[in-house]
Amino acid sequence: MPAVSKGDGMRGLAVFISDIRNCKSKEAEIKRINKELANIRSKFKGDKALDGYSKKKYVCKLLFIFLLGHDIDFGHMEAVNLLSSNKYTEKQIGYLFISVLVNSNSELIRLINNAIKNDLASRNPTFMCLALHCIANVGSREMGEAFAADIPRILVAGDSMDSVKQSAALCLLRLYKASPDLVPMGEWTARVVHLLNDQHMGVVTAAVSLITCLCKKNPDDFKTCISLAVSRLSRIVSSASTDLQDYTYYFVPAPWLSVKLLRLLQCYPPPEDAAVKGRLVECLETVLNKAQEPPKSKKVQHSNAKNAILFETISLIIHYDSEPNLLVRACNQLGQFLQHRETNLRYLALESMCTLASSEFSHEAVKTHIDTVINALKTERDVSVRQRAADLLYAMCDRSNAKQIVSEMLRYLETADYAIREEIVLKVAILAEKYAVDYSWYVDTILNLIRIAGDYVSEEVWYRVLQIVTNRDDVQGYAAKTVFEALQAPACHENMVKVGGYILGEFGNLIAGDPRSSPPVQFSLLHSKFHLCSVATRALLLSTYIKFINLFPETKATIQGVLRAGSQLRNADVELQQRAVEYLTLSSVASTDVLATVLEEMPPFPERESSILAKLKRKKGPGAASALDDGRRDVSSNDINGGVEPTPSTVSTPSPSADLLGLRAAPPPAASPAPASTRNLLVDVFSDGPAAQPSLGPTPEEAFLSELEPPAPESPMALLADPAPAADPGPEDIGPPIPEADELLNKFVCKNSGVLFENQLLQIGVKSEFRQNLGRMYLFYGNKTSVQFQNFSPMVVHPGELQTQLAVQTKRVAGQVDGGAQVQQVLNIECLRDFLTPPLLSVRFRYGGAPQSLTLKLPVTINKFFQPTEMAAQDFFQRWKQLSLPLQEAQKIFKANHPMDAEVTKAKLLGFGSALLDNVDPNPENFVGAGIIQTKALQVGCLLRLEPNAQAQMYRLTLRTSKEPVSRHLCELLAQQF
Amino acid sequence: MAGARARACGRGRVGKLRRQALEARLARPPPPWPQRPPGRPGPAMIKAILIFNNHGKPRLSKFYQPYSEDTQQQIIRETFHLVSKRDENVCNFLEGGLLIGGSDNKLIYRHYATLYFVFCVDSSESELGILDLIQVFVETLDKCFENVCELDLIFHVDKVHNILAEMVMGGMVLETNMNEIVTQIDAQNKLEKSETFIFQSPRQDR
Repeated sequence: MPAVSKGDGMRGLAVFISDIRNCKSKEAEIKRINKELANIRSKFKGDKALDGYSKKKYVCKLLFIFLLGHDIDFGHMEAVNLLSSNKYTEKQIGYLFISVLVNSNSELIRLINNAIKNDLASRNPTFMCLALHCIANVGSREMGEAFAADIPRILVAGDSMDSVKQSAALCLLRLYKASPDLVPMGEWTARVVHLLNDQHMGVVTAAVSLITCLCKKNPDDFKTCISLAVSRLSRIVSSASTDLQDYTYYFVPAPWLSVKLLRLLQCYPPPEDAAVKGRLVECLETVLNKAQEPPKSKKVQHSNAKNAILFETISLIIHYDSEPNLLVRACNQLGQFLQHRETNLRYLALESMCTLASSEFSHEAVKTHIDTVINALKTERDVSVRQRAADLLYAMCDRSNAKQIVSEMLRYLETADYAIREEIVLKVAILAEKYAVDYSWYVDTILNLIRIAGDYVSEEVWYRVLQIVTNRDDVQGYAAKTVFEALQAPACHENMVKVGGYILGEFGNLIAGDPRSSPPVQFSLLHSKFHLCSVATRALLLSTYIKFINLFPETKATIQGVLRAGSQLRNADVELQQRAVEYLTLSSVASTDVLATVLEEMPPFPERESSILAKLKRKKGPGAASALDDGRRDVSSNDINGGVEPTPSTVSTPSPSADLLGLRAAPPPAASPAPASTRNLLVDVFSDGPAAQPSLGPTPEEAFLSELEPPAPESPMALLADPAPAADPGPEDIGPPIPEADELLNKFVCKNSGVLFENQLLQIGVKSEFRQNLGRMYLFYGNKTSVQFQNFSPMVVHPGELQTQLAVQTKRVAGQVDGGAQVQQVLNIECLRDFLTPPLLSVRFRYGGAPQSLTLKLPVTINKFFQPTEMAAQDFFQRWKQLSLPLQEAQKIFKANHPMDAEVTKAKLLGFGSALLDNVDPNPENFVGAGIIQTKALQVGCLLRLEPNAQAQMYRLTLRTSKEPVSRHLCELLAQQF
Repeated sequence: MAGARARACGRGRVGKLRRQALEARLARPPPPWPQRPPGRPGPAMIKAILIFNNHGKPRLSKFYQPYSEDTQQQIIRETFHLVSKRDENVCNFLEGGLLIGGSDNKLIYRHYATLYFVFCVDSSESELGILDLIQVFVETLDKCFENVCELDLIFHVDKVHNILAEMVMGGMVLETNMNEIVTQIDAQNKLEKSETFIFQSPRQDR
């Protein structure tokens, strides 16, 4: 008998669905849906109480409508009501609706939680499972708070049914993933480990998933699971194909559980106990042996299940990285799959081999497959597979085969899918640099890259070639000659012009002896491209020209002519115009000596990790760059995320011209320092201010001192450097602020220091000072764990129009934060005009390989730029009257959330920033304040009055300012403080 | 003045003590384990399960991570676009679309007659394992509906959800044993039957 008989559906639902399916057009469908929505709405709103069946039917209709892509904005309440029904069918449909249309509406969540609580306590296993499913599917923090403590109890209770245990384990896992801090560890953990011995395989599977997750945080608490997992695995692996009956899938015993157990073992190092280890190695060998046996079925499901176990076994072998024998066997087995007729297996084999390539025992064995892999790159029809082949070539590359691999990848690039071109470009650039024996090969390779895929050559790549050429005298002449030749092509990519312009500007003299590349020829070649280029490139070329004047005095007249032309001197682009004017003046007023000093050749860049590598890591996540880590042969430093990785300067990549003239030691991709003028201003502002108030947060004394030192003398050419910061990453790049962000922000409306955020991993402290329209904020990021954070990058983002209202300059921080360490970040803030929303602070890092990200609201609110103003009662009332337009006033009457204490209120108002005026209000209980909000563009006068009513435990707050949105905003901010 | 200085000194000392404590902590040898990250990062998780037909009409969508309704629809469209342009006989895995999280995620799919079954999973799921799971899902549907076809999925969305709920819960695999799943569904149907008598006559049922 089929489990769902076709006749017993709901007729009304079926009719509705048929109607929809018969609709001839999208409009007809929408019309029919709107009609139905209206019908359901009226039924829900109607006086007649609906029976459970009708409710169920309507909820089903809503689900169907939702699936078609229409928003459902009602019915939630009815669904919640269904939860408390004691009929299974109604309850079930209620839970279904809620888990499909999750709503973070807090009112409802409380009701839902209530229903769940009842069902969990019902001791009816079916109801309990429904409730557990709902918690797991929604997985919100509120639910975690309500149930995280109960579920462990249900999980280990002796009388729980198997199906309940199974659901409870996964439910707990989901809550732990969502909010690890909520799940209490306790004596239940030991009992969870023993679930690995459970009779019911479903329970074991769920328990393994749970332990795999929990043990990452507390490996020692769960250590006993190793031997249990090994013995369970060994029983499965050695069982005959029919022993496990229901859990045998196409003749393979319990494939899913085997995979999970193998995954669990990858959380630990090889077992220390020799007996356990022996048993495990035996298991692994058995799996490898079974893979070679003839298949028990021709069905693809059989081979899939068998190979799922095999690939996970190989993963474990690679993870242990200690059994050369097994590693080589694994590699051979994968080698067979490389030419398997199943595309899936080829894909997975290429993927696994990538990790094998990083083991010292199997690296050589992997290399023997190079021809097959190159062939795959050329002939595979499937782009996913080709991509894996490219990854593997990258991973297996070393000095011995670099030339072959690089040339194959270059060839592939000509036909590669657009989606992966940039990645291939990065990989080629890295390999070419890493394994370059002679640098002329490197220069050729990069120029080839630009020629073949110029559009995909990012700044990092061509910055890097310039760094390398600048640092190595032996390749400079060759580079100049090669770019000169490359530029002669009738159409060359703009990136080629940039590289060419830079290199000829620096080293053009090295080829000037050849009459075919004499200075005038070089100049006219470059200048022939000038008009086709973008502003940035033209700016760079102008700098090249002024360098030419120094290198080749004979070109001076020609170049001055170019600079003097109206198209330069009066260029609409301010940067080009400024450069033309300044260079022209420089070339005419400065003596040859001065010119030679100012325009001297670039000094070598300090050695540092390639920014390309950082970019690739960012692009691909961990693993992508493994081949490049020097430490890969060393087990202890095999952490591919580790090592030195500078935080990529995503916030402010200066334009390439910034350092063209070589007056700064920093390499091009480094962030340019803040313009000196702002810095001086801030120093002044702070130096005559009162001493820093004692703060809760850590003290930034050193930072203050160092900032108070006179700024390093700026080089005379700083004016010419391009200070334009690159566009901030848009707000779409960062996640939404965490739910508590508003609450956290509110804590800082009336104070300037404290702990902004804290979870298990990270603590963020803040300390700030504001003077007039300027502010400086210190953020302290504390790593609370014992493990280093990697790729640590905090970033300030201005959503919407805030960019024009508030300027925030951030200093970069180190990309790593050691366990237990704290790093500090300084933010300089300037309020340009009044603003309503605070900037966002996005913090990203990797912790133990897992990416973490967090978005907070930076505690910068408009009231921070308040300047208190003292005034007499008479003045106050006069101004109060002046601000009498209805929109200038904002008023709020609200209940007191805190005890009503006059002293505390006073402190809060002062913290808010206004002056407190005594003897103004006739009622001495009331508070009156005044202040001016200072922004760069305008000043906003603010008057406020707060009237507490102790009997009613209420306040009335009135704000009057000269700007209407400011009144409302201040009123809202302040009202939340009492 | 003197008070201010005393305060400043006090603060300095606290800072120094804190620094010493930190240095002491840093001087300790690092914890012996983990020496290296596990082969696949993070706990395995299914982000979403989608079923749509050859024209991209969604027949089931189940998300295990909160996305707005709009994003859900966009993800369905994007996924359809990615999957439907692939030939038959290519591999069943591809990198996830940008909306669902890009290359940290994989799409694992199977195409049966008129329907695509797509699982969006994070990079630590076993690909072949998920393929097996899709197969179990389809076979279970086939058992429950007797020769399942697209129409069954359309008219019994709630049942399909229930069957799926027996297999996957909160993005994690609950049960892979088909018989166990079918037993559970049968039990549910019995419960349902026992409650049916109170229902209205189907004739007035609109």
